[in-house]
Amino acid sequence: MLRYIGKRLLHLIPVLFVITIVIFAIVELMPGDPVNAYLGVGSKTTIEQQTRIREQLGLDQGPVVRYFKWLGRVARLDFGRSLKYRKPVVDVIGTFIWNSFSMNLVVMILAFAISIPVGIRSAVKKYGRFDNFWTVFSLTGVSMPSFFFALLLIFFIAIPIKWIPLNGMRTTLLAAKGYNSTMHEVLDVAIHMLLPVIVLTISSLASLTRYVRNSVIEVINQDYIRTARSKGLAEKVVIYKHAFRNALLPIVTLLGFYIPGLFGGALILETVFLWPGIGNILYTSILDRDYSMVMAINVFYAILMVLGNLMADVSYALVDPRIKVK
Amino acid sequence: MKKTGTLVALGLMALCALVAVTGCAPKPVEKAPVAEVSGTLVVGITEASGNFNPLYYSSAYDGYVVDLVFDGLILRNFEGEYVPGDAVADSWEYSNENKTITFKMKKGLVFSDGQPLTAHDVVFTYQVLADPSYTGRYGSAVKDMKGYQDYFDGKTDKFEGVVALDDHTVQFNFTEALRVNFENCGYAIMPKHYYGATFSYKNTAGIEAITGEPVGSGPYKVESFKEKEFVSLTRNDKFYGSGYQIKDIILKFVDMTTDIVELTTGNVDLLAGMIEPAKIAEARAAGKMVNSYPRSGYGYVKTNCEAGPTADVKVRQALYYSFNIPEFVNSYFKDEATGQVLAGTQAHPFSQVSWVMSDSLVKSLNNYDFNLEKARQLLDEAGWKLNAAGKREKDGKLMELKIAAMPDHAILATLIPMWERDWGQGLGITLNIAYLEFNTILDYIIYNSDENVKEWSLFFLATSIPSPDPHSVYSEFHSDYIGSGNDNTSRYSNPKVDQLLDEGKKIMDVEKAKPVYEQVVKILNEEAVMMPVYANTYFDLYDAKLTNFKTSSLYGWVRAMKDAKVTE
Repeated sequence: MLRYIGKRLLHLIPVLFVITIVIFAIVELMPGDPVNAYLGVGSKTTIEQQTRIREQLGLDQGPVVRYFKWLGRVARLDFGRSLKYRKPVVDVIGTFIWNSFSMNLVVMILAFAISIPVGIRSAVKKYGRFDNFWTVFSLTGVSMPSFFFALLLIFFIAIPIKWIPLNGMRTTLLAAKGYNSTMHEVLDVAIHMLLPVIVLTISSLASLTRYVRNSVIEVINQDYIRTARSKGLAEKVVIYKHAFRNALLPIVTLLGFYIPGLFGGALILETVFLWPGIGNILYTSILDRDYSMVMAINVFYAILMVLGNLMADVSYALVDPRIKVK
Repeated sequence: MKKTGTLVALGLMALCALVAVTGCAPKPVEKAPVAEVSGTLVVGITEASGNFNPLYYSSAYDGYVVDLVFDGLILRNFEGEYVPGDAVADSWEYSNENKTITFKMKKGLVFSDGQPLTAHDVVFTYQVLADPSYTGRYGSAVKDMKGYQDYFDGKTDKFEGVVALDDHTVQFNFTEALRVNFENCGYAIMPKHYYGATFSYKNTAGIEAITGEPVGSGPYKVESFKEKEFVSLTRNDKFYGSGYQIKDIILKFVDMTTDIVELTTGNVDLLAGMIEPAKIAEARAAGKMVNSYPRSGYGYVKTNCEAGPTADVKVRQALYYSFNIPEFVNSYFKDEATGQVLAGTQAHPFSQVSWVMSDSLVKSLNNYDFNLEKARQLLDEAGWKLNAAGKREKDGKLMELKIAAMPDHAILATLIPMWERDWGQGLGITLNIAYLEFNTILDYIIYNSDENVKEWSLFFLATSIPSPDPHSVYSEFHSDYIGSGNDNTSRYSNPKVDQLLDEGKKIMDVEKAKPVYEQVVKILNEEAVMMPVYANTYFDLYDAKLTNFKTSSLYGWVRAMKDAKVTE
């Protein structure tokens, strides 16, 4: 198994290499460059000064040279400095990643805790009232754009109900003047999390319940379930012992995808709710043409993605003895 | 047209009077009592990156923090004038044919960490701006200073531009006597002992690295900062000046869709510089207070004066005559509740509060009142005739306007149908609208304007003009500034305008400079180089607990904190 993981990790290196080339090329193709976006309109900086700034930042070199220089630095785990924040990129994104993570973790726990029982019940009583309700619910959840849903919640819940905050992560006055205790702060963050968590949970529930339902239905139609039933086992035992464990396989795969995704941010939702997360920062960094930030965050996302794939494969192999790893 | 008066500091005559009033020697600083400082004010902002370094920050919101934390030699007062003693400089004197300005500084000033503020800190600040390794966006402040070029080019490590004569006297030397040199002397003074610990010539990395925890000599200091959440400032008890009686100022992040709700529900106490009629009406309805003042700036359409049909003056005039600007302003800026229109129009590219503008000058300008007939006639004269299909063409080529527009832009979404109606159907011009993201438009018109000169005919943008001096439009209309990376985005070239702008910038006396700039105003108006679309009014919306809060075009909410109070 370890050899398998090691081999897979080695395979990731060329994949990541290609990904960085693609990201670098896309970033490079955006009109404008970091210096222009940073100077903006009306700085009255002379052309000579602009040229000097580019030289200082190494932007006067061609894209190929810059790519390999960048790659060389990244190999030494140096993702460069943000031109806007004037800080090492890693320092800037650090806090934001954890803000995104804490919210995503709550969402993931809720989403799995709700969708597994719901999915199973929908599968067992296929086309029943319960199943139909969740079918409609999923369809609505998938179809509704999250920013729109978010705005609806803000206007119909946060504005009329005073104790539910509109946006942000902390109550400003409390945070600025200091909380009484850590518990106080945790509660404050929790209440601010409420609306974004509702939106994110509902949108992930939509697909997740369908996924669980379908994988359980598939298992229920297998011969061994018919055998179990014909042995005279109780329906509960059939479903939860025989069917569910087998239906778990694709769900575990899904979980593998979800875990690395916890560190990624929901770009639009974080912007609407002013959640200081990584998605929010990626968006503003793109508008600012903050190359080092955009590259670092995208490479981070790429790493999450390939690791997610790896984790899914590994966990699949772990739970399914039929899959032989070589 | 409002006039904010004239700059005091200009001309030797005025100077003598000032020296007489203030006395030649700087007075020792009287510590103002800070006992009555109280209250908390929460101000809504939409962005801040936490880069509070005066030499490197880029967002206007980070600028608020910089302005609250740092102090300069000079500061504009409510009337837009510089008065000695309002900031670090107690007096100043011109010499060397007005190429040198010598400032006497207040004595006994300290930074918020208790260390003294001296002329050497001023020198340090400007040395960094002039340094060859400096990568910030404020280098233009030093470009006209003596010895800058050699220092920048690495020929000498001594910068002659700003020199400390003693601990409390600092001298600015310029290569040329320009009226606007003075404005460049007011830069935020940075403590050398804090920012410059590792500074040497060609090594500014250490200064750049200090972004948070700013140390200045201004009225406030940063207490805490949570990225993308808030900045909390508290009164600097070592600040020398009087006023600034609000104890804590918190800048809180708000979103544009819900900012007004945050105000009406009391999450924030102040939203500055608002323009949307609906939001202003909502704030009024909720019993909030409103300050309003003309914006020093405007939204405008600029046409390509170098390539395409708009290179012809007659075409530009025709477009101007057939652009129903009052119709737009009266619908877009109408406050439905009161029926008032919250913006005006103007037919010149200067700030509505610039000292060059007067009522008589405004009256003498062509307002290009909507007149389709006249526009048709001008196009005919320019050789753009209607073809059989009802489209304008010349030498077998269709008249095509390439409009660089931004998507999801409320103003453009109103303007474009008007253009389609009047320019398209009314005049028979073919409109080709390209929707481009903001930085892409800038790439067309500024960053890579030389390569893209044929790609566009006109664009819409808005601008703010931070100074009442008409010189602030110099680089926008001077032909030296045509080209990639430069400000003359309409690529307008007129030797007469160049000559007037060059003449005007050298006249130290405002009154004598006026007639020169008046000519520029008239030429630019006549040649329809730019079509300002609206000159709007800014509204500061705030809770009644904030009192004595007076803002104006060039005296924003940060400055107004000097006299404001919070009564809980």
